[in-house]
Amino acid sequence: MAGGGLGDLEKLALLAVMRLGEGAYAVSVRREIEERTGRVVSRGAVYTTLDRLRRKGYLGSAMSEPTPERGGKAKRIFWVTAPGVASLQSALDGISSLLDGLEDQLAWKARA
Amino acid sequence: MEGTSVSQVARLLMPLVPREHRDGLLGDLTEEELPTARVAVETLGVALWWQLEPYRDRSIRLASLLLWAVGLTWLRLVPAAAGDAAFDPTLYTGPIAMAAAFFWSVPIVPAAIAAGLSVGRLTVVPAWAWAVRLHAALGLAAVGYATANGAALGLAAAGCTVGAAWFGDRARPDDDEHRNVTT
Repeated sequence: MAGGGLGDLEKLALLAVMRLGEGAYAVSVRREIEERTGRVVSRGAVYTTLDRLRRKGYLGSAMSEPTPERGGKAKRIFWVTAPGVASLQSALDGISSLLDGLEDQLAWKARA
Repeated sequence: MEGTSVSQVARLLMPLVPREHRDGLLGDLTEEELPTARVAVETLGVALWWQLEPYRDRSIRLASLLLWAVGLTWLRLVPAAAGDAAFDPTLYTGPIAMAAAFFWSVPIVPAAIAAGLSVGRLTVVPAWAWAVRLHAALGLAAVGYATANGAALGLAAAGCTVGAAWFGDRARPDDDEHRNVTT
């Protein structure tokens, strides 16, 4: 089932990867999540979450070219796959549905 | 911090990280130019997350229990079946027969080998969840050591469990991509 079982950090990771586009790798994803949400995320949580999403088919990945700044090591680049987009959309639709009518209580407005 | 220091600290813990992610992690730690102590802490943290990751899956938790159950059964069953068999060299002729008799007179050793092979060979745990096999192998090795008659036999049993698990893992016919054998 699309969106079924997407955890909190999984959603954030998928969104971060989508935002970052071609530059999405573990370090940038972690930085993006922390800067956007104010939430401190451990490095290990990010690595394992990205790999879990890859195993589920929601992320694709490939190794980039190695660079001197990285001690000659490549980085694993991620991108969101079509099933990943569908899963994320389903999860966000579910949240949006639950939020319907609660705008006054939460002082949160859905973007037009 | 020098890149060499990053490698020295992180490489010690790399066997606990999936092989396909090691270069990426080393590169990330180098890129961020973290202090040496921080590298060690970060690498240890990442390694622990990877070790615990398979247990998030209920089916893998059940498979882990199965590995343990099969291993513990071997460790109990074989010594019980061997009973009080003792090695008496005068009863056997030929090196193979004598070796077999000796082998069965220390039943914890074939039991440990059977347990280890089961852990490595059973396909109930997917290849990517290799940490589960590692934990089962080490845990059963400890059980073998504790139940053996004496420290020498205990070490032999523990070593045989881990070695057989490694061998079984190498010989298992499934997805090689995630196999984390350190060779």
